[in-house]
Amino acid sequence: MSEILRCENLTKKYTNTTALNKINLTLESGKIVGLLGPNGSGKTTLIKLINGLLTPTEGKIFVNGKTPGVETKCEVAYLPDNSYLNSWMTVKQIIDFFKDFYEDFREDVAYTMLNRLSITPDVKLKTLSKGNKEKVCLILVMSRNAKLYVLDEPIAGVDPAARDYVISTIINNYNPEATVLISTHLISDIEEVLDEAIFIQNGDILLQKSIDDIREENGKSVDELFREVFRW
Amino acid sequence: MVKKLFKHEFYAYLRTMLPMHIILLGIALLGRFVQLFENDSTAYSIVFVSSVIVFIVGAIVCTVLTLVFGIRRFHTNLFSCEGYLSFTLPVTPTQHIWVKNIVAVIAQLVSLVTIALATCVITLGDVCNEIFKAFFYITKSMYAEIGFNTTLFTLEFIVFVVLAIATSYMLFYACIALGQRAKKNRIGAAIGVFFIYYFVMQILSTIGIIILAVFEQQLRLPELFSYLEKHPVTAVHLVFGVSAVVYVIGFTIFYLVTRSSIKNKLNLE
Repeated sequence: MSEILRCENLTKKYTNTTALNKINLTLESGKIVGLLGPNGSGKTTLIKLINGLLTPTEGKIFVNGKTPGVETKCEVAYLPDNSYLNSWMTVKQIIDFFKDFYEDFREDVAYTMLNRLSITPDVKLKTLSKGNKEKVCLILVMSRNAKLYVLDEPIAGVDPAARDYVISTIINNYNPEATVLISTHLISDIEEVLDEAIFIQNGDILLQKSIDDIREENGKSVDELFREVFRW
Repeated sequence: MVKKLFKHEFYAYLRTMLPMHIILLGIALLGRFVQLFENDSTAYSIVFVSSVIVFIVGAIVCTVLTLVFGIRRFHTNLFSCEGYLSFTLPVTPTQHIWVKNIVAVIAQLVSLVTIALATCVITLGDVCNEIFKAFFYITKSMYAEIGFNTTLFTLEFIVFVVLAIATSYMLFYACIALGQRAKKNRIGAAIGVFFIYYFVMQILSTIGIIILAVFEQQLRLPELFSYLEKHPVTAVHLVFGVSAVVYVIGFTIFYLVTRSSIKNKLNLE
């Protein structure tokens, strides 16, 4: 398996805070990886660095061997933790937008998924409910044939039924040769689909192991281990 | 990718600006229609004056809204939640800034053309003819008396206007980009940066004027002014030339500040 992400002594400092503290991390292709940690642990900062939305204070980050830039943005599909689409656009316009900018965008896959949700392409994004808007965002991201999918809190703030939809959309549509990095603190909902887990706290990587190893070595589920490690 | 950026940027402007321009032309047409019923009655005077006032307000609103839309588009598209999409497109920050600036300048020029066209519509007939006649008479006389080249002057004026608009937008972009470095109230911080810039510029220009006044003999300014008084055409070229250089320098500085902030200090909320 080839390496899709590498962080070398990666550090990100804000004015008074160190969000990431000299982290070293390697992710291989073809895995679904959970980036797990409490709020403020550095998950979103790491994700922003992967997407070139932040620049490291120190250290290096490589996505498929390249520093974040135009080339890596063609290979990374990113779902932020907030609604980021132009609300005045219709669903069709936003699909055309993605089709224009991302060569790996699969229009047919997007329309099939939308059809399943009974979302018509001519509807404006601002008229959609919060839940449907989030589903459209997920559909756009998962319709790409990317090498690395980075999903920031995709199941936070959605009802259990919608969580199942989100998880099944991810599982059924990602490129099997790609890596999916899912940031969340709702571990029990996604534990079953993860191949690997990364525990992050106060900007440090506490653990990076396969789910099987965690269960074997600790005799606990990832959720149980998470609760133990991050107990208040 | 740049072509696609232009396409989507133009579309975003078009959906807002086109209705506004159509409304302005409609107001002008309505104003001209009112004039067909010209008479001495008070009622006509009230309707006529009202139509002219509405047209003038419409023209001002058109210019101001185009400016506000250009600034807002830069902020919303790059520094609000939409920035998560804009900055994850396979496009460089340099391309984003240039495309936004060029489209904003074109939109402002189109607004000016629409206002000119609407003015022609509302004054269609004798008034419009008189304005054009006066314009051609003045330019002809100036050419005959001091050798004023209208074509060259027009070209210089267009370059001047384009540079002035482009630099103004880039100044706003730089303020927004610097403002987004603040932890809280980033719009407030951008406005603060704008006022600090103007305050500093006022101080620098005052110091510049004082220096020129103190060293006017050494700099041979009286000789220069006396020469320009005798050669008004050269004076006009000099004003345009110096302004163009100042605008290019300003544009470059604001562009570098904006690009550096986006490239190295981007931190979306």
